[in-house]
Amino acid sequence: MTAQPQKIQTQAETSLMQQFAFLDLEPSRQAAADRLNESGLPHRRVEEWKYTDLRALLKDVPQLASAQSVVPTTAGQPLVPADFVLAVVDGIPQDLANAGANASDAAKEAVSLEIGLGDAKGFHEKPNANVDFNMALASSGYVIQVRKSAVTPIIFIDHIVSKADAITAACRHSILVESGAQAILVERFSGPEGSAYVASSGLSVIVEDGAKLTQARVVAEGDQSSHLATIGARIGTDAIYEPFVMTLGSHLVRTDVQITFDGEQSHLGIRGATLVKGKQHTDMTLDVDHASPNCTSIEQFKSVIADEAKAVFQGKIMVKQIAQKTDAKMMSQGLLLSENGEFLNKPELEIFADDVVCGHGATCGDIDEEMLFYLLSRGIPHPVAEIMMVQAFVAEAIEDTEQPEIIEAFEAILADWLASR
Amino acid sequence: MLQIKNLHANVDGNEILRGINLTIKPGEVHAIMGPNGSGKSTLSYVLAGKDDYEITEGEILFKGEDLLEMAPDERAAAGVFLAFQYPIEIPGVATMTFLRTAMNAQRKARGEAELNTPDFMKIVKQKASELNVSPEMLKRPLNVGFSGGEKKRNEIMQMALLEPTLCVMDETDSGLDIDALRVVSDGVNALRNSERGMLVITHYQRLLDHIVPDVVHVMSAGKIVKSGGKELALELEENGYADFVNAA
Repeated sequence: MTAQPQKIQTQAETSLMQQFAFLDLEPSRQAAADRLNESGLPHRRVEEWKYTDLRALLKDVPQLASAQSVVPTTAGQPLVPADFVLAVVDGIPQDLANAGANASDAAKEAVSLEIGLGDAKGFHEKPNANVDFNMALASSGYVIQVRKSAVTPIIFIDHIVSKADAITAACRHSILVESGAQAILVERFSGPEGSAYVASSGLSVIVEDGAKLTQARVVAEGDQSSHLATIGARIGTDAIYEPFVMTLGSHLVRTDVQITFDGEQSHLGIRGATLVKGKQHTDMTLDVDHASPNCTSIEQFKSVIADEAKAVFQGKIMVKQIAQKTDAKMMSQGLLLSENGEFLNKPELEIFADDVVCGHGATCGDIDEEMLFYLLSRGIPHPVAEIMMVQAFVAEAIEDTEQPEIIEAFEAILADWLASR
Repeated sequence: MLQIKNLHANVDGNEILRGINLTIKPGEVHAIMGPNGSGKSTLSYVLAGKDDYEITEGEILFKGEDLLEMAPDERAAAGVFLAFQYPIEIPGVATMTFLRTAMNAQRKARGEAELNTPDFMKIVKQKASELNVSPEMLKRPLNVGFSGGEKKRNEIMQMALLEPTLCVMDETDSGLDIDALRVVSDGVNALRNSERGMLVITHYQRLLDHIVPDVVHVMSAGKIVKSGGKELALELEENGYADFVNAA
């Protein structure tokens, strides 16, 4: 008789499996739940989760909020003026009746919105625990379709956790930007302080040929929450995808971004700014698949770490053999504002094509003493000079955003964060 | 206004300044000349308050107050200005934002009202045009991509805007062509008045043809080894530093 090693489930795993058992899941969700059942939550011995041991860090998966338990709520003030303002409360998408109240006729013509569970075609095919977690738990979201038009509609989705009791809020959206269309998607995630809620969010993006999607996301969840997000995007031919993720709230954040180039002559400009303090732990894990020739990508991430916080950046760029003439530039930089902060920076390039330009840079350091002294020597007091230096550090990523309103919103958030330190 | 008494300073345990004595009165322009490594730049950094230096002996009084007790920003607000030999590039900080922050910080420290935008713009535009600093330069990040001459003009423009009482210029002439040297010197000369003291650090007589000093000091091995009138600079240009280096 051989002894079977017994797997001990954590509180979070037990709670998750019990909830799966009670949910009547359709096959694709059940398959994701089964994979999680089998593997348990990912831990540090799984390479992609080495620096974010979810099994140890996620203490519980509270009761999943359902449509019946949610009090209808409208979105807060949008980050930027938007044509469509949508709200997701405790993971449940809210009524669309007034969503386009500010939209022009042309924008209304260009955008169709539905509530439901759209496809997940944007994600890579290989299994990923974060994607499975969201796939199994999310029962709905917004299904957004943007048609070619003379206008660039702006869609704002406000993700709100309303309850003070810990809940799990899960949703998954899909956005399809059709051939030749353009759109701007702005998202915010927020929730109550002091509540150990779990927010799981999924977003499947398809940018078709000749289309362009600009995306700006602000993760400003409550201080005790866990935010587990996944973005999966496919970019067609001659298309542009420009997402920016600003992460500042939450106790634990893990964002998995998977991007695939499906066509030629396309561009990806993905940027991010992470601002952490206290005992926060944030992780941005990027997996870019250059699966087509003649595409360019820029990956630029800035992390500012104060107190005892920890920021993780894992950036993988795969250049397939077919993807000749790829031009990819990745840069991840950390700025440590304290002795006890930690920045874990892991760039990975896997290049199978021989005629490509690929570069990556990874830096980590304190505030530059020479620069700081220059500011001080002009009479700028130390705290103000430090703020200027942090703003300058983050600005490099923010300023490459094309939309002035988005830049302004990000700069205001950054200034607030710096003032609250 | 400035009294340096028996100043000794170390960097990483090496003594760079070995007993500097120097007094600058309001309205005076002093020049310090000396070979490489004699401690000229160290003296300028010590005056501005850079913390890489350990003061082991001596004192610096500025308007009767102990300068060494003051933080760099406090020194600036009190009226000390260092024009850097190598102005620092700061990506992400627009020159205009920097100027405004600095001017208002100093005004605030002195208990004066902050400048409003139109007044600030007016003053900056005027000083910028006097020093051939283009509006386009003001929009760029601080010193980033500036040529050597542009950086130095930017330093003198800051000096004109901040109106310090003690101007310390560390090799402001290095990297300047003849025309830029004239622009910079004119800028400096425009700031000369009976209230303001200046300390001009240079290698070459050339700068002192434009900014004519009242006193010239020769520095060698961390000490002032000779002081004299402006003719001392000419003598040095003629004979080099050899006599003084040996004397030290």
